[in-house]
Order: sequence, then C-alpha cells, then structure tokens
Amino acid sequence: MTAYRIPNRVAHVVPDGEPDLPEALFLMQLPDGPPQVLHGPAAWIWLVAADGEPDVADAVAHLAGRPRQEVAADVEQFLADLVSRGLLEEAPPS
Amino acid sequence: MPWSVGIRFTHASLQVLAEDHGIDLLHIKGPAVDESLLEVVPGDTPHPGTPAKRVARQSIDADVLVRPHHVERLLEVMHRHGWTTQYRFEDGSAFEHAATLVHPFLAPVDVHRRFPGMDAHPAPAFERLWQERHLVPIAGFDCPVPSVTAQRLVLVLHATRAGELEHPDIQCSWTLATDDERAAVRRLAEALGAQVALAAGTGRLGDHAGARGYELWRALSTGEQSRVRIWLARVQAEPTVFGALRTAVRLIVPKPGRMRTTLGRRPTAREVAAAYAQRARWGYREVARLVRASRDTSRGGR
Repeated sequence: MTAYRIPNRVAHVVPDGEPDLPEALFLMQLPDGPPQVLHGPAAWIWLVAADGEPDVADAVAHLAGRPRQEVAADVEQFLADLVSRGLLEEAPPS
Repeated sequence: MPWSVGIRFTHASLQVLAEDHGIDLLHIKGPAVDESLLEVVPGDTPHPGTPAKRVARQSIDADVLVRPHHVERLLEVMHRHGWTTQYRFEDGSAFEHAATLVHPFLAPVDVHRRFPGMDAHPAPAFERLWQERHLVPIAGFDCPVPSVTAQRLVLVLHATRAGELEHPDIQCSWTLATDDERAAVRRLAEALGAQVALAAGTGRLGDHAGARGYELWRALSTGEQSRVRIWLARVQAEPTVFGALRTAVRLIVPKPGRMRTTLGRRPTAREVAAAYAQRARWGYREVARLVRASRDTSRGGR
C-alpha cells in the first residue's frame, strides 16, 4: 500500500454548498496555477488519498458501492497520474 | 470556477509570494473571517427545526493588509507573477488606502497599506495587528490573519465606512458580542486611533463631537451622498496642514486609473482635462447648493 499527502504548494478548495461527498474539487499549484478541477469520483480519490488513507482503492470502492477489484486498477492509475502532475505526492513510510 | 474558489486561491497564492519574498501580510475579510463572526441564518424554511448555520461571507475580491514598508516589494513581485494594477492607491477611495490588482484567472485583490478608520501611523498599527496574528487555512494553506478582536474592529469599520450600520457584520462583531469582547475591541481601537470610527459604527459617535474625524465618520456612517461634504470632512480629518492640502488636491482631481477602466483604454489629455472641468463644476454646484441650504436653514431658524 502507498500512502499519499498533499504537496506543500498545492491549494485545494471544495466549493461552498457542496454535499459531504463533493461533486467538484478545485486544485491549484501555488503561486501561479493554473487552477484545475476534479469531478465526482476523481475528486473523491484525491480527497481520500490526501487524507492519508493507506488503501485508497478500498475506500473509494466503499464510497462508490462497488467491489474493490472492480475499481482498483483505475484508482491506482489515476493516483499515479495525480502524482505525475504534482497534485499529490507519496508519503514517506511511517 | 466559482468566484468564492478564485478568492481563496488568490489568498493562498499571495501568501506563497509573501513567504518567498519576506513580505508580511495579513489576510482580512472574506474567507479570513473567523467562523464565530459569520452571520447565522435559520435552517431551510421548508424543514422547520433544521439547525441554524453560519453563512460564508460573500466577497467580490480578496483583501490583504500589508506591512507598509513591504507594499512596494509586494506589488513588484505580484507584477512578475501575472498581476496587473487596475487601480493605484491614488485611484481608489478618498482614503487612498488600497490598490486593486487583477489577474487572468484569479480573483482580484485589494492590497491595503492601511485600514480606513485606524488613524494611528500605519507602521505601528500594522505591527500591533501582526503581533496578535494567528494562522488559518485558506484553500488548505496557512495564512496569517488578525486576532478575532481585530477582525471585529475591521468588520465594524468597513461596514461603517459604507454607511451600512445595520450590516450583519456589525451585528455579529459588535451587537452580539459580550461585554468583555466589546471592551477588548474598544481597547484595540484606542491603540489604533480608531475610537471615532468605531463609535460611528456602534451608536456612540456623539461622545466624540468636535474630535478630529468626527465630521468625516458622521458623513460616512450616515451614507452621505454629497461629494463636497465628504471632501470637506476628509480634509478636516487630516492631522496636518500638509496632509489636508494634499487630500484636498487628491480628492478633487480626476483619477486616470478609474477613467482608464471606465473607457477601456488610456484617457486622452483632452478627456482628462474635460474630467477636471466636470469635477470643478460638480464641486461648484454642490458648494453653491450647500451654501444656499445653509443660508435658508439659518434664515428659517431666526
């Protein structure tokens, strides 16, 4: 399992009025951006990973009401994409 | 991108620029306001009994207060990071307290070099606020904000300057405050030279009749519309003759920055000259009207 964390210079905002499970999440690398938006499950994956959850795929599968094996590959690929874009980083082993 | 998101990103972006360049700034108003000072509204009306909730302040821009000696450095750094000055300090309000900068995708920001109503010298006033700062996350990034007491004062002064004495900010920051909280705000106002402005916003302006700034804050807090009355009050509020002269000149000259925004281009010399003439006519007409009104009042009183 890989744990993730928010890079030092990534700002993040869930817009006012969003439900507990938000539909949108805005991210921006500081100070120059540009802002980016993640919708639906993409936002959930970032939020769960940023919270330090060690098994992101399992947590997202739970949120989506799907079996873990059904979502795991896509989640892992998306996490790798977020890391490559500098929007998440791998946390050092504790 | 929702406006409220852009405002938060602006705060966070400016904080990073400040940290990278040794600039001290405090985030004020908008998302920097302590939750305890937000307006409380009842729950959804179709569902009686729904818990009341605090409502985020609606802003049109971000606001920061900068250590006066760091203002030029901040503006220079911002210009290198895509920000453009829309209104210089001289183009802004009668107080010349803030410059407005805009960015291609972030929300605009008002960079304050002082806060209207605080008459203490801007540098020690900022230092007092800075010493009592704490950090709050905005867009997930720690930003220094004034103490809650100072936030109460800022919100009251801001609403008062706009003549909005029934504004929820005054309700939440003053009317609903405890005696101890109000006493703390009064002490801070005294330290910052803001007694008159605070009194104007809290129904005690009469205690300061004759004090410097009394006429100005009476005019502002009552929503005075006459430009001449506000000019005169602003001039009278200046602590020195030089300041009064400079303010008088500044207030009656047209502001090229504002004209450029209105016109969508740089004003020509002829347009600036015409604006000077128009301002002079406005001033003359209003002065004449005030004189007539004053004369009629005094005759009627005989």
